[in-house]
Amino acid sequence: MSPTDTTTAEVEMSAMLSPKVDRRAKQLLEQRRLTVYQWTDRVLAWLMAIQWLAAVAAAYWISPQAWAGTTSQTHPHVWAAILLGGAISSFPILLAVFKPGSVISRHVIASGQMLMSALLIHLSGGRIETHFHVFGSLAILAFYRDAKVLMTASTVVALDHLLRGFYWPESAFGILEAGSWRWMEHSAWVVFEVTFLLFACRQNQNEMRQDSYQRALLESTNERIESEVIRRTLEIEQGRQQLEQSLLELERKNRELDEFTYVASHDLQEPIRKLVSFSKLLKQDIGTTLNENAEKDLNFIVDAAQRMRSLIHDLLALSRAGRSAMKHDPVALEDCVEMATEALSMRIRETGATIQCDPLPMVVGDSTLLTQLYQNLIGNALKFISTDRTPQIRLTAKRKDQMWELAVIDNGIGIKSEYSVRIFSPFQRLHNRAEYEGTGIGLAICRKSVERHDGEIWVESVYGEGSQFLFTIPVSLEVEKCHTEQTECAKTLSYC
Amino acid sequence: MFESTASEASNKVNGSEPTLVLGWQRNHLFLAVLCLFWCASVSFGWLLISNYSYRNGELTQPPTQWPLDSSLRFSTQRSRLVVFAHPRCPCTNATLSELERLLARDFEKLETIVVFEKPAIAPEGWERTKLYQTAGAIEGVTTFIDMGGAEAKRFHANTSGVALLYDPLGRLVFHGGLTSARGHEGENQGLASLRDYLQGVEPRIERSCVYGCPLQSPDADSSKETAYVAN
Repeated sequence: MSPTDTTTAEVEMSAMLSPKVDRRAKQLLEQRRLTVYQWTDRVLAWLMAIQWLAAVAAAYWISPQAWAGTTSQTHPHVWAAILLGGAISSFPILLAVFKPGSVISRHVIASGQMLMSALLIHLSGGRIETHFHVFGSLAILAFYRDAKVLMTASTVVALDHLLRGFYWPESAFGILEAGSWRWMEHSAWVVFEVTFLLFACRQNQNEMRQDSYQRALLESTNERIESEVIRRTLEIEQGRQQLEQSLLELERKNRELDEFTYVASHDLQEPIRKLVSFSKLLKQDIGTTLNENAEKDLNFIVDAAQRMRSLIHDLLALSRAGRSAMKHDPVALEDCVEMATEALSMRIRETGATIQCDPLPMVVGDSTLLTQLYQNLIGNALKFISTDRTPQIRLTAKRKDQMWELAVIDNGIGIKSEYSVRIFSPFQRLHNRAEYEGTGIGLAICRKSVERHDGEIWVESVYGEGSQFLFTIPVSLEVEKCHTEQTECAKTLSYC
Repeated sequence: MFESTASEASNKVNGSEPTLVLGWQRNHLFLAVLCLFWCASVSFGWLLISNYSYRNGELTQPPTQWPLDSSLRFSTQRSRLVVFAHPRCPCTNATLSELERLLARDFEKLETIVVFEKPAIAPEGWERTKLYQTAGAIEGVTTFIDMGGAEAKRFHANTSGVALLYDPLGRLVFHGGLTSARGHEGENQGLASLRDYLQGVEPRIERSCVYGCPLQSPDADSSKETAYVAN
């Protein structure tokens, strides 16, 4: 047995021995017994009523009339069946109806049933076959699963035989001159059957007791599980609330940070612009009068000011991408691509890049953000390429369920897989500035733009061979339908 | 329920609420009275029915010698057993059952006639009952219809089920019933005496009680002719 099993068994054992489970088990056992007693009371009440009718019918059939010559009258056996049978049956039936499940009911019923056996034997003229009714009755009384009931029934049989043996031995034993202990022999046969019935009763009681303990144990376990579930649910709920609060706090801080970024980048634009302009002017004004070191220092200042300006510009773009009011217009992505390539036309010409564009769908979104998205991705494809290659860029669109999967595929330098997530964070650069210029904000802007369109962006790349930047945009069926029919309705969709 | 009421009551006895205790005691007292009444009524019923079943019919002394004027004819010189029966007496079924059991082994030792009495005023076919057919079906038994009860009168038979055993010389050996109660099958003194005789020993008794319906009405007229029916 493993330690876990041992623990479980110990828990079960301790639960079984706990007073609460013990009490509940006893309660269940009593309920079960009561159900059995009541059910058997009902069964035997019906049986006694049927037997009563059967006794009357048998008496009427066997001995309908008593004769004296040609005159006759109703046979006393018929009256006995009606009156004595009624007297025997009625009280047990009444008890079964008005006091079902009580101790007195089942003992009276048991006595009544055995007396009914005696009456039936008498009415049938002592036929040996009718004696089987006694044994059948004992078996039926075993339905109570109560040994005491069987003892009562056996006592009635024994008493009947004792009295008969004493007064009319021939009627009881079928022989003459029965010994004084003869009644015991007959009773012994009853005891023979009752012994096995008692054994069955005891087994049944044990099974019922075990069942009750199992049920009590199960209930206890269920209660514990239920309370545990409630406790865990409460904890989860508390956790959820804490998380919500943290989320709200985070959102608030993000908003503040965005606000700060926007304000800082916006307000810094002007001094930086001045710094760049005036540093350039200063360089022009001084001309060649500076020594070599001073000129070098001045160039550093100009260069740093320019980089700072680019940085602030991109930072402002990132901030705008996250906080500006987003439009939800029908947008033809092909138009976005066209505008993006137009903005990058000089670079495209310089590099001799070829851009192949598959048919792109209509989506609902912000054309500025989507244009910016394509511009950044195509710009990266033009920028991050080895000098011995000509950029080859392909733009694709693929429908996947309710989303469009769009891709910008290049033959650039590629990205190592370990950087595939990091590159979408702001200020993350994989190369130094001397190799590839830039601020490291472009892909962060792309991610923000896509997320605002309820999509996702990721990269699949083979280092040194090229990259696929993929992003998803939700499909808009209405816009697509309009687009397919080549109508102008997209422009007039009010909900957009 | 009774059990729970009992436990509650025992608690109450030790504690307070005497009204409830009184109610519980009254309830039990009522049940006890009902039980006693039930036992009494059932016992009384048993007493009545037992009294009826074990009350023997009238048994008079039959002729000690075979009456020569009897219409009953015998073909052999064996012992003669005559059983008088009321054709409609339900109690006599048990007598015939016992007779059948007796003759099953020893029918060759006896010549048996079951005499069914037909009162003079009874309509035609009144006596042809199931009992009559049952008797006729027993091996070694001859049935006889006693028109007007002349033979019954001749043999002083008054109760259905009475059996008279005469030896081959016509001497009365035994007379009485073959059952222990009205319509009750089983071993009894009369049957045992017949068996004793057939086994060649002295019958334990010469006379036993007879249980059955009276053969004649109180106002019976027996001055009618009789008829012999061979089985």
